[in-house]
Amino acid sequence: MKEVALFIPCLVDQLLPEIGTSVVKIFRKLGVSFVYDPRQTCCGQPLVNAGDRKGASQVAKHFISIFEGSEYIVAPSGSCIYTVKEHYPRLLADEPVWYQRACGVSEKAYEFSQFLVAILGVSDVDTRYEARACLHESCAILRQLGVSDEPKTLLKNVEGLELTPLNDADVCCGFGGEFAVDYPDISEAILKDKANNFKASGADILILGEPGCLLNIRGYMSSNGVNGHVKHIAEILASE
Amino acid sequence: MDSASNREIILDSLKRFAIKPEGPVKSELVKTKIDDLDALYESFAQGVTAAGGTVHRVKDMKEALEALDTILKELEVSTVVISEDKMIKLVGIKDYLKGKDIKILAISKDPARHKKTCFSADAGITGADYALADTGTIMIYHGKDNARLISLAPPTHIAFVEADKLLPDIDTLIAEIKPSNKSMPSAMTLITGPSLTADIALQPTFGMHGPKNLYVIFI
Amino acid sequence: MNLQTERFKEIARENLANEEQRKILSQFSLILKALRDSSFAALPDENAALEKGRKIREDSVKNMPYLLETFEENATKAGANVVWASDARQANDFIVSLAKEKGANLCVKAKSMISEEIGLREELTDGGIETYETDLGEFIVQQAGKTPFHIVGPAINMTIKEISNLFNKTIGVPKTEDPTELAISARMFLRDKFKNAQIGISGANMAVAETGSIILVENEGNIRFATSVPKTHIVLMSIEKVVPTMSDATHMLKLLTRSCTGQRISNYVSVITGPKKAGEIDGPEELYIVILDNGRTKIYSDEVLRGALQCIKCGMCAAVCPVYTHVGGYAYGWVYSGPIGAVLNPLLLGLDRARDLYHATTLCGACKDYCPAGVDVRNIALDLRAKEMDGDKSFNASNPPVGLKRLYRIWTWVLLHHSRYKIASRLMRIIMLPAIKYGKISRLPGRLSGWTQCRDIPQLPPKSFHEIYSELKK
Repeated sequence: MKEVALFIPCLVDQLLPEIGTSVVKIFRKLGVSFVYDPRQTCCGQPLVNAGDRKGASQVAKHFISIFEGSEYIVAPSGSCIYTVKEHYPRLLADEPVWYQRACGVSEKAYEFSQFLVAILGVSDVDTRYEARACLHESCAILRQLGVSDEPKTLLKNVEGLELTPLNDADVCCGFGGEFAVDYPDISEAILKDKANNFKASGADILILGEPGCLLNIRGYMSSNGVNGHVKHIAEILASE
Repeated sequence: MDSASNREIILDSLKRFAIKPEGPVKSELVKTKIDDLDALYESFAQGVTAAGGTVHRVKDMKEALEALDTILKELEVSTVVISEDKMIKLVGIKDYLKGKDIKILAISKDPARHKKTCFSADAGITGADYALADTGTIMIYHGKDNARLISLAPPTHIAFVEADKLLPDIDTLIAEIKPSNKSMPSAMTLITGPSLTADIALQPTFGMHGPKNLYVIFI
Repeated sequence: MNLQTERFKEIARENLANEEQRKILSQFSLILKALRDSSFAALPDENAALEKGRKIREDSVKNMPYLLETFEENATKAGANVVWASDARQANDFIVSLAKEKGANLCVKAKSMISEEIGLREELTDGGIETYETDLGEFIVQQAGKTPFHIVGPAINMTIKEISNLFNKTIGVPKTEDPTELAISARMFLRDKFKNAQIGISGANMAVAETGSIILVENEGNIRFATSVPKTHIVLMSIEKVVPTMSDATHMLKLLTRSCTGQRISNYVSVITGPKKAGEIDGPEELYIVILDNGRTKIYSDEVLRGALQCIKCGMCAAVCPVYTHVGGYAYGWVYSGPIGAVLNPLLLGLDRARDLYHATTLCGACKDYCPAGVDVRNIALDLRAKEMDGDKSFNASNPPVGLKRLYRIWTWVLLHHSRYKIASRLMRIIMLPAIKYGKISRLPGRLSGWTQCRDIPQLPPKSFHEIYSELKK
C-alpha cells in the first residue's frame, strides 16, 4: 500500500475538524497507510489570493519541506491542492532548486475524492446514508482540477442516498476567499441564487468537497433560515 | 504625429519580448465530410432558412428565371438593380426582365448616382461566387462587376449561385481561393440570411440596416 | 469616456438593487449560454477547435511585432495607408484632422471597442464632425448618453419602454412598444446618414498578416454601409488584432461568432483588402488603417499579463461570470466589462484607479473555461493583486496596502512554524468567545463584518483537528 501524507487545510483544522476525522475514518476503513504530520499549518492559499507572493513562497517552502517525502499528498479541499499543484511551481520559478522541489510535490497532490477514485481505484466505500441530496460542484475541484466524475461516482454508490440534480451546480457559490468579505453585497446575491437552486432541488442535504464553499453556503443558510444541511463529501462517506 | 517613429518604438518594444512560434498552428481537426450534393444542399438550405433567408433549388436557368419571377411578383417589386457578374449574364436575367413589368435601374459608373440607384431600388439581384453548406452562407467577391451596394442597400437581395460552387465549409473555401495579397478583392462578403438585430430587448428584427429579405436561387 | 472605475462598489450596489435589470441580465446570460453551447456542439470536435483557437491567439500575441510588419507590408501593397499611433491623443488627433482635411462634416461609425477606449466619437463631435454610432445597440447608448452595458449587447439592459421614450425625445419618432418599429425608426434615421457621410470608421475584429486584410463581423449591415459608402474608410485597430493567416482568421471567426452571439457565423462577414480598385463603382477611395498601441506594449512586456491581449472581445466571459451576471456592465466603470474588463481596465488605466475590478472576482475560473482565445483572467487578476502588494510603479500601483501587508507578514510568520500556529489558534478561540451567540457567530468586527453581513460562522469547535488527532492516535 502506498504511503499517503494527509494534509488538513487550516479551515478544516480550525473550524471544521469533523471533515478531517471523517477522512481519517475512511482511510482507516480502506486500509490506506497514511501519516498526519503535526508540523503542517496552511498551504498559503490566502496569501496567494491576496497577492502576497513573498509570504506565500515562504509558506510554500514550509509545506514542501514537510510533504515532499511522501508518495501522495491528499487533502479534503480542491483549492488547497490547486495551490500546491499550480501556484507553488509558479511562486518558486526563480529559485531553481526550490522550483524542482515544488514540481515534485505538485505531481503528487490530490484532492480527496480524486485520490479515492483515480488512484486507489475505489468507487464504493461501502456506506449508508439516508437522504435526498444534491452535489455542488466547487470551482476549484471542477474547473481548476478538472475533477467532476469522481465525487459523483462515490456518492452514487452510497446506499440510501438519493442524488437529485441541482440547477447551476457548476456555478460559483460566491465565496472566493477575501471576495466574500470585501464584496458582501455581490457575494450575497450569488449565494442567494445558490440557496434558491438548492431549495428548488427538493433535496435536504447539499454535498460538496470544498471547505470554503461549505462555510459560505452553510453560513448563509443558517443565517437566512434556509432549511437543509450542507456537508462535505467525506462526512457522507464516513457515515457507518 | 510621427507615424514612422511611433512604428519604430512600438515594434522595437514588442520585439524585446516577442517569441517566434515554431510554425503555424496545426491541429488534427475532424473535417466535415460530405461530398454528396444533396446532403450538402440540405445543410446549406437549412442554414439559410435558420438565418431567416429563403432558398429555391432549381434545375436550370429557365427554372431559375421562373423562381425569380415568382419572388418579384410576391414582393411586388417594381424596380431592381442588377449586378453585372458572370452568373447574372449566364442566367440571362436582364433579357428576361425586359419583357416584364419591372424597371431595371441602370448601373451608373458615377458613384453618387450609383448610390442613389441602390438606395432607391426595391430589390438587388446579384450572383454569388461561392456557397457554404455548413452555415448556409453565400460569398460575394465585390469588384467591377459586382458592386457592394447592390446586395446591401435595397430591402430585398436575390442571389444566384451554381451547384458546383457549393463547398462544405469556410475551411474548404479558404483552401479553394488560396488567399494572398494579390488574389484578394477589395472586399468580399460572407452573407448568411438577411440583416438582423436583437439589440432591443433581445427581440430579433430583420432588415435592420441591410436587406430585410434574402433569397438564394440555387441552380 | 467618463471614468468610473473607482466607484465600483457603489455602482455594483445600485445595480444589484435594480430587479428589472437583473431579470434581463440573467435571461440574457441563460439564452446566450444555451445558444453558445449548441453552436459549439455543432462543430465536429468542439474541444479541439477551442484548443486550436487558443493556440492561434497565443502564438499571434507571441509573434505580434513580426505579424504586424507583414500585415503592414501587405495592406500597403493593397493600397491602404497604414499609420501608427502611440496613444489615444495621437490617434484622435490624427483621425479628426484627417476628417477635417477631407472636408467632412458627417461620419458614420461601426461598433468598435477601441474607439470607445479613446473616446473617438466625442473627439470628432468636438471637432465639428457630426458622428453617429450605427450599430443599433451603440446608437441607443449614444442617444442615451450612456456607456455600453455589455461588450456585445451595449443596450441589452434597457427596456423597450425606455428606448421608446428615448427615441421619441432624441429622433422625434412616435412612442411604440414594438421593437421592430423602433428598429425601423433607427434604420430610417441612419440610412440618411449612411447616404451622406464622407467618413466611415470601423474597428477590426481581425487583421490578417498574410493578405493585409481586415475582417469585420456583424449582423446588421451597418458595417458594410460604413465601409462601402463614404469616400474615406478609417480602420482603427489595436496592435493585438493581428493573426497570421486567413485560415487562422476563419478558424477564429467560427469561435468568435459562436461565443459572441451563439451563431455559427454572423449574418455578415466583410473581408476588406485595401480601398476600392480601379474601375470599381463603390467602396472607399481611400483606406486608412490606424494601428494603435495605447498602453499595450507595456502590457506585452509581462509574460503573464500579456495573455489579456489574446482576447477577441466576444463577451462570452461576462455571460458566465457570477459577478457580471449580478452587477452588470456599468460597475466596471469603463469601456470593457465582465471578467476581461476586470483585468484589462486596470491594465490600461493603472491599478490605482481600478483596484476593485481585479479584487471583485470569486476566482471561479468559468471565464477561462469558456474563453475561445485562452485568456486566463483568474491568473492575471492574481498577478495584478501581487503587483499592487509590491507597489509596482510600472502599472501605477503606487499605494500598496501597508496595513494589510504588515498583517500578512505576521500571518506568514505564524504559518511558518506549527507551534506558533497552534498558539494563534488557541488565542483566536479566546478572542472569539464573546462574539458567540447561540452556538454561532453572527457578527464579526471590522473588515470581517462583510462575512457576517449575510452569514454566520459556526461556533469554533472546542478542539482543532490537530488536537483531536493527537488524542485519536493514542
